[in-house]
Amino acid sequence: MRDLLARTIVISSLSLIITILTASNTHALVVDGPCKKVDVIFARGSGVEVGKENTEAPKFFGAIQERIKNGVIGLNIYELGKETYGGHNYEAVNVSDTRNWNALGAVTSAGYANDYGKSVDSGVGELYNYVIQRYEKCKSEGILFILGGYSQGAQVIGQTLAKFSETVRNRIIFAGFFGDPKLHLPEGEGWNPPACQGKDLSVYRRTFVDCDLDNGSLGSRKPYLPMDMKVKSGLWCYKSDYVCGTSKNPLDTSGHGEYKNSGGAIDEAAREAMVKLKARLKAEAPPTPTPQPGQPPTPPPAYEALDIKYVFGTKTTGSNVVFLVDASEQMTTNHQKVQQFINQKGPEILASGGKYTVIPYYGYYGLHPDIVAGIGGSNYYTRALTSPFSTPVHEKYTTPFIYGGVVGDPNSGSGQIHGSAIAALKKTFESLDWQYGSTKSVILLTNNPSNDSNNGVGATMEQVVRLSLSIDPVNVYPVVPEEMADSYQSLAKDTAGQVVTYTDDLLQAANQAFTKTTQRPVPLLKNTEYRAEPGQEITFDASDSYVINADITKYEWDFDGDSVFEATTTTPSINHTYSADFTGLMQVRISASNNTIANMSATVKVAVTQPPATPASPKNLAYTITSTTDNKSAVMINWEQGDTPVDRWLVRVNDMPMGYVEGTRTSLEITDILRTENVVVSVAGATNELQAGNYSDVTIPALVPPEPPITSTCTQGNLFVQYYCKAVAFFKIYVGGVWRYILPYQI
Amino acid sequence: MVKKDKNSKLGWKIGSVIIIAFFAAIIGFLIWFFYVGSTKEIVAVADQFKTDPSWDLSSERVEPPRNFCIDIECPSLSRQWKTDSILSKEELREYLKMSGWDFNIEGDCLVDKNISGTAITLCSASGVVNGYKVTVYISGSSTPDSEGIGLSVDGIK
Repeated sequence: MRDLLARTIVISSLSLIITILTASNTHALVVDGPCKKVDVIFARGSGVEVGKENTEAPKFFGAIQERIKNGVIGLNIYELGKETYGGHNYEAVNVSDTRNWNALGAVTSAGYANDYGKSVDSGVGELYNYVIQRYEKCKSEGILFILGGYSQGAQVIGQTLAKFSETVRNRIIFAGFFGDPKLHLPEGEGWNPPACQGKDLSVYRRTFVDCDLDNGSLGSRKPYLPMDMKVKSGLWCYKSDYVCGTSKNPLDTSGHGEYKNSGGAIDEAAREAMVKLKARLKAEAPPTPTPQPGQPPTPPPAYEALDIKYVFGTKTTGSNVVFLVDASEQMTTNHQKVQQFINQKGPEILASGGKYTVIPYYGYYGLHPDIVAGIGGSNYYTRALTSPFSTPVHEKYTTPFIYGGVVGDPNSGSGQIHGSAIAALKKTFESLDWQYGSTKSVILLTNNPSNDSNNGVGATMEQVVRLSLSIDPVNVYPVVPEEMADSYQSLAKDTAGQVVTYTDDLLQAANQAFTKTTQRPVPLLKNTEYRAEPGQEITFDASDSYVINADITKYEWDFDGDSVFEATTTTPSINHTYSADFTGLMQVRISASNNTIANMSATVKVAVTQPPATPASPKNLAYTITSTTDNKSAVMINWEQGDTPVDRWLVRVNDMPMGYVEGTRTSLEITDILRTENVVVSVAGATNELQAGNYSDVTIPALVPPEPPITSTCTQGNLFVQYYCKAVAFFKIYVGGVWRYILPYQI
Repeated sequence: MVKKDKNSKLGWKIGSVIIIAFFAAIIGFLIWFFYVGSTKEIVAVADQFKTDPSWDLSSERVEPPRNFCIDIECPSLSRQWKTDSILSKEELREYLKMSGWDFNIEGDCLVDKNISGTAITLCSASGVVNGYKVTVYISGSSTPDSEGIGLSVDGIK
């Protein structure tokens, strides 16, 4: 007995020591942290390291933190994958390593199976358990959630939302999806989809490219979001992003890395989340008591301090700015001021996530040996020393040029030729790599008059204006002496820029022009392309447009890109019907109360088009079970070619896309089909772009347990009774997972 | 008869060239697709960062240069250390100086008491070293045990 007691004491002591040691090695979980008003959760993309700087998660957290000024609202941050909840830890498996085949595994299973699918499941499990635990812990304090996910992480967020109860979802105020491989925009489906006419746009649509966009690289999740989440979500898909479907080329992913750019989708999502948070807090706040005489006034509620403006801290939205500098001898006296201005504003643009470049230009008369480098024809030339936008770091403006020409150029010094500004603008527009989604402007610094002269400089005003529109557009701000203002008015107006004049202080005028570029409205149409048939109505919607610290006063609409604005409205959208074929640009010009304007253009194609032939459906779709083990079967699916050849066959199992095979194939073996329930295999013909025709289905019935041997229960009684028993025993049906007799056989 | 033989031989030659070119293109694509470059250069840049022996390396990931890259930068490198306390702006400046990096520091490196949970970036310093974008950042939150310092090195496109 004493021995037993001693053993017990020793074991208990050891257990205590182990417990203490374990506890000292375990840090507190985030879920157990103090309750805050808002929990912000982000799910990273494939292969991204948790906590790594310069990635989407810290950008999302930082953008939200910046907008909650002075910590007026408590935040609890959680990056998925940091800890384990419910036994799940989000892996975010790498799909860039071609040797692990994860990308292929994701595509062939539509993102639902293989290592990629397991990774998504791990994220769904972790997110679900984390949110539920936080909700249970902090619901009495009215906890709210803001969610964000990038790429694979967007899929995780989307799949998890459907698993929450409506009560929990009610506490989610915003979910942001960036580059989602399971994107679904029903308005982009089919031939001549409604999105191309600006109609039926999903409420969560935040993308302005490709009106045919309907699904991501891993197919679409249908329904994409629970109904109650649609108005609380935003989905961004940039152009050149194969992952979310704006490009069908798997190697075209340049747009996929741009969501975190300053002024980009993640910044926009943070602002939108703040708008929703503010509205929610306002709605849930108790009524403000009326201040009694003699008592101090009630402080404003905390939500009033939330920043919902389109200003990111002290920063402006990402912008592309070109300083186009007249380098002719007439500008000599302004040399120092120009350099001072550029050296001051350049770093400001970089700090705000924008890009800039400086392009000196000059014109001269006379033949030039290097015609390719110059612009123009006959005897007049313009030289514009273009240099690309540099990012992320651009050296300070130290380009050596002297007025009247460029250092090292033997033909320089011939002075300014009228029209050179136009030629230099054309060269500028054509040569630069303009950044998608940024606001674009040229600050033209000159003291020579403009001259749309056709005097041989190789460019016309009309060409320049059209180029400006087609880029996005680029707004031109000429900074010129007062007496030359008239000659630049048309250029500025048609590119939605503004002329800024000076009498003797160029620096002040240049600063004024720069301020206008940062304070002008940012026009945003829902689409960058529209398509319709003659007589079909198009809705042009610019309701996403905004302006910093001012109000939009009017919208002017030019439906054919001729710089004549056919309609003016104070509301942000307008319907227009083209009666005849048209291919070109339309634009909207927006004016703001701070005396600034800006415009945005979009391509329009109006023509009668024939719908493409629907790919044929397969004929005589059938199946053969080739083997079965543990309720799982390998099944050979066979079919015959339809009426017309197809490029590919798409295959679905229980409505879940499994991938495709080449159009020459007429069979496919599918392994590991779980037979506990009926399985429907569907096959449809498709184009190379995976535009599917109608699906044909074949149902593989569920496996049923083997019929129980009837002899074992019919061995009693005389021979007649036994035979009767066996005969009756055939009348059995399979109901509710067991064999039942429709007649009693126990006689 | 001789002419026919010549035509036949020419046909074989052309056919052979087409087939060889076809397979060469496939092999070329596969080599390109599965290409994995050296991480020596990016690791050498990261190794320039002088660390303190008391820091505990909690994670490290190196992505080599590749031609097919989704969601991440290729090449890129991430190292994160846990520290006993949150480093000050001055301390960060000192480590940058020791590493020979003259970067501006953005942020005050101070914790906002109203923010808890996963550590977030409190301040960071970025610059370009040997053609790579290098960022050193201090992270933390009001939650205990979340203090750390991180190094991020990304290839510039």
